[in-house]
Amino acid sequence: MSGEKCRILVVDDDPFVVEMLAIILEADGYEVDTAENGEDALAKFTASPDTGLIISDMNMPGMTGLELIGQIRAYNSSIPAILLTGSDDVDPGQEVDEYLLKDENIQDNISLSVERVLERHAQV
Amino acid sequence: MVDTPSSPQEKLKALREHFACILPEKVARCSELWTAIIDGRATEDTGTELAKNLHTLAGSAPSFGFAMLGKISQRAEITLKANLPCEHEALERVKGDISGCINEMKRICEIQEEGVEERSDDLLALTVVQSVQSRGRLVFILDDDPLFCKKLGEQIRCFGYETREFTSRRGLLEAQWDPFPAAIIIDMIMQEGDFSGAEAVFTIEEHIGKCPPVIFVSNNSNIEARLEAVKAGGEAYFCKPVSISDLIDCLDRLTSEHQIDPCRILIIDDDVELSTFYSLTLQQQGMETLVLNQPLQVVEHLVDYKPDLILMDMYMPECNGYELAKAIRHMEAYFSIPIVFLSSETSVERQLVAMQMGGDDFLTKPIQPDHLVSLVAIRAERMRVIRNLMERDSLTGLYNRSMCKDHLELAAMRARRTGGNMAFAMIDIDTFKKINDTYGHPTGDRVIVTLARLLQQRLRKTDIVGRFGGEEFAVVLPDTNLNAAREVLDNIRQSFSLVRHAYAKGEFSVTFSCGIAAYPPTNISTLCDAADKALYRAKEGGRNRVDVNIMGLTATLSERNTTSNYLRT
Repeated sequence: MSGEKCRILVVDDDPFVVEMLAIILEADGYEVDTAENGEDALAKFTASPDTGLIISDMNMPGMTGLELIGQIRAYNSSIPAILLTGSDDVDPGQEVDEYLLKDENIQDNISLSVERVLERHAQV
Repeated sequence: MVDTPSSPQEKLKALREHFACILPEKVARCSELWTAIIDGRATEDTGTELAKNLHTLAGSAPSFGFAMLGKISQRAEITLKANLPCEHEALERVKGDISGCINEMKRICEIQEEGVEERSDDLLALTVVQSVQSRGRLVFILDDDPLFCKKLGEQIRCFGYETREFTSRRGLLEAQWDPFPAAIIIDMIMQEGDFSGAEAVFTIEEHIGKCPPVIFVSNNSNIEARLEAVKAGGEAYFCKPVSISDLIDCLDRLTSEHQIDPCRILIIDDDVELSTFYSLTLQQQGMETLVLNQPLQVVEHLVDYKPDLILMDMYMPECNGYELAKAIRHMEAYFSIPIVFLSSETSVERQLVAMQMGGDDFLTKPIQPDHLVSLVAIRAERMRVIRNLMERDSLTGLYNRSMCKDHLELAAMRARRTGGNMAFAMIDIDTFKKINDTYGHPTGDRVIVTLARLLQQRLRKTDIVGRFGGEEFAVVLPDTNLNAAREVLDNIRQSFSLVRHAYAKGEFSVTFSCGIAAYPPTNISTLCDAADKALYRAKEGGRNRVDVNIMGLTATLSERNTTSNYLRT
């Protein structure tokens, strides 16, 4: 693990999911920003451009997760992103670094997934 | 290891509980919207709103342990979205499917809520909790350091004691001494001087009339202070930081009322008068006896009575002593039980034959009562020691793995026979390897002993507590249903997480996870597996928690049986 922990922006329209992820990631030592939709997330991101990772739900009212990530990458083309999805039949393509199923294992998987993505990103 | 009360695990647990609370509301809202659609009362947005609600549930329910509900919600969402606006033929086509999904979601909520209610008004749970409380013995603590006083009190209460703390001698003397405390813990060094703890004992005797057993604690380990403690009648002397498991051991010894079980002697003799005479002689010396006048009854009584020694006549009508001894030795569990023959046989050769056939000793009639007593007592006592070595774990004194399994089997048989309940719990100390690595193995061992003491203190006498190996414990709770068992063990879990364990440089706390399964077990290994699975879930769910596995019911609650069949249709 690299020395300093970065800031992570978590976006999901379900406040329960947002809070759960925030608790886990904060326990892992990250700074966490949260947002409930794409517009809100964009505002948060522009306010804290040092954000090092985006974790976003796919289906949200308004902007989808993929659209959000696309827009954020207009500011910072290399920022890593993890997409949350309820079903495994989504093909996130090349747009995101990893996608994570919202299932009963998410509490365990999230930390690993974040670590993996950040590590890979640091090597590039 | 939990160091602060609001650890991420606890926060997550609170969040999970909150989610479980509002889940029925969310499902009810879905049901309401769907009913409006079916009844033709829907507006344009109703379908979209329902789809959105279903989507949210599909996303969050699985994350909080409601995997099945999430899947059903997702299925309903997909079906609904594909048919929006859900009207006329489209509605007719999907009506049954979506209604089925929503009913199933409601049912899952109901089962979950019932579980909660059952827990709160479960009479059995109450009796178990009460029996634990009634064992609470009162301990007074006198220390002029209020923080130490309070902390020590908290720690001791974790082990089922009641405590009252005093920071001054005056407060102690003016206190209510009824009920009379079972023990008092006194700091040797207080404001009044280096031996003021010892002086306090004399003051108590003067004002109250008598002093309960005293345990001294002190920062000072020199011999003068220790001698003062002895002179004041101190039962024990602990240097700070006090190891809580040692202190509890000492308190248990001082306050427990139960005596060591007497040795059990099985007497087999067809002569009713003679056997009664032996029996009374041994009983007078504090031994327990069971007399069998028909030798062939022996097998059934061996298992139930578990004698420490068998006293047997050599010549009986149905069979002779040699054969019976040999038959008893054929039973694996009684291979080493002492068997003493009684006979008027005076031929040394015959006596030797009897020994070869499995007898340990030979008493010649007429038998001297004191001879009988001493011979029986020594051998039975030795058998006790050997049996303890065979059946108990050397570190904790708890039953070992194989004894646990034996007791589990017995309890399951009894439950099956009487149609009663029984629960089986597996407990595993969280991140124990880390404790050993960080604080060293001797400290790790002390954590194990502390948990062993806590379990012994807080469970009933009829419950069987064993060390399954390493940092794993097992508890057999006869006549206990799943909810009652969960309540009791969850209380113990909370207490254990509050215990502060001392090591060379400070203190730390430890947690455990627990999995419980209950009757009806199809067999012991299924029951063990079920408890093991529940334990695994408790670990997966973030540790420091108690999870249950209701075999039958869990199957309906989760992935398998009815619901998944429903989904496949």
